[in-house]
Amino acid sequence: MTRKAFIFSLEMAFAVFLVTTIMLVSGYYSTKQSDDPLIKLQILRTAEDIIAIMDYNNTLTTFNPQAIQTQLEQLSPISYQMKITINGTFTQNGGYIETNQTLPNDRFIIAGNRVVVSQDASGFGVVKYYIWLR
Amino acid sequence: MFNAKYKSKKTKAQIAVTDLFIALFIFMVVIISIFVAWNMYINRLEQRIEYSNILSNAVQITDTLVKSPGKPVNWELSNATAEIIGLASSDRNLSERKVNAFTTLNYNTTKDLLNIKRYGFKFTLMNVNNSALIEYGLNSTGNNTVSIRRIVWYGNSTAFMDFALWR
Repeated sequence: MTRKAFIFSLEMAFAVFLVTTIMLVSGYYSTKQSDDPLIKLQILRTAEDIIAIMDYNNTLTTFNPQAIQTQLEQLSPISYQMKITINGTFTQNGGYIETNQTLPNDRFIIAGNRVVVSQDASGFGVVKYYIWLR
Repeated sequence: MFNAKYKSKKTKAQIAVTDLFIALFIFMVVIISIFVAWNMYINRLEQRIEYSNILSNAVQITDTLVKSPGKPVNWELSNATAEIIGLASSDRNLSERKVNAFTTLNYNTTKDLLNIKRYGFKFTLMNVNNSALIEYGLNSTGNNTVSIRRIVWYGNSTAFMDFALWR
């Protein structure tokens, strides 16, 4: 009789543990908002917009690191941070430009590329941009 | 002798009943907790699905508005011919004529063309100082609102295009 009760209690404890685990795991996944791929897509769109506008207003093709940094800070939404590197055949800055921001180790970083041609068509640069949530 | 035996049986029966009530109480607490938690998760899941639907629609609409000239390409000449609304003369470069034509469209016609009959929307074009240049649509009266900001080129300067979709 005692052994039967013990097995019954053990089974009940096991069942409660199982149910609690399933509920906690499902709760964790149902509340995990940051992994929504649409939010990442929206962050990427923001970065693409900023780079396209900096291309339109010829900021990127000045190949001037200070001007690029200033414009980037003006256009970046407050909740995001961005870094840009440009590598190419332009003569300014030895053909390489990098903005000040440091890539974080603990954030999800979204990156993309765009090719820009200097205004006098004498050189080009491959713009690599990185964006992450602050 | 008889009384002592009777008393002992009575005590045992009382303990068994108390045990039953305690077990029943614990069982009810567990069942109610599971029910409440299940309901909570279902509600959260429904809200999340609704939010994802609105976000997905908003992302697609803003993408079409800022990247496409629409169909036909010169739909702004006669609003009635518009099949797909697009505001771009080139990628992320908004045409002033298309934007003006867009804001003169009937609100419900626009919802039909954007395929968002179930939702409400508000379109705002702002300069970089966040002063509204153009406003079109209705302010949100729904429980779920998603607002998307796109950075565009409008009238030879940088502008912000905000599109809020709500239900």
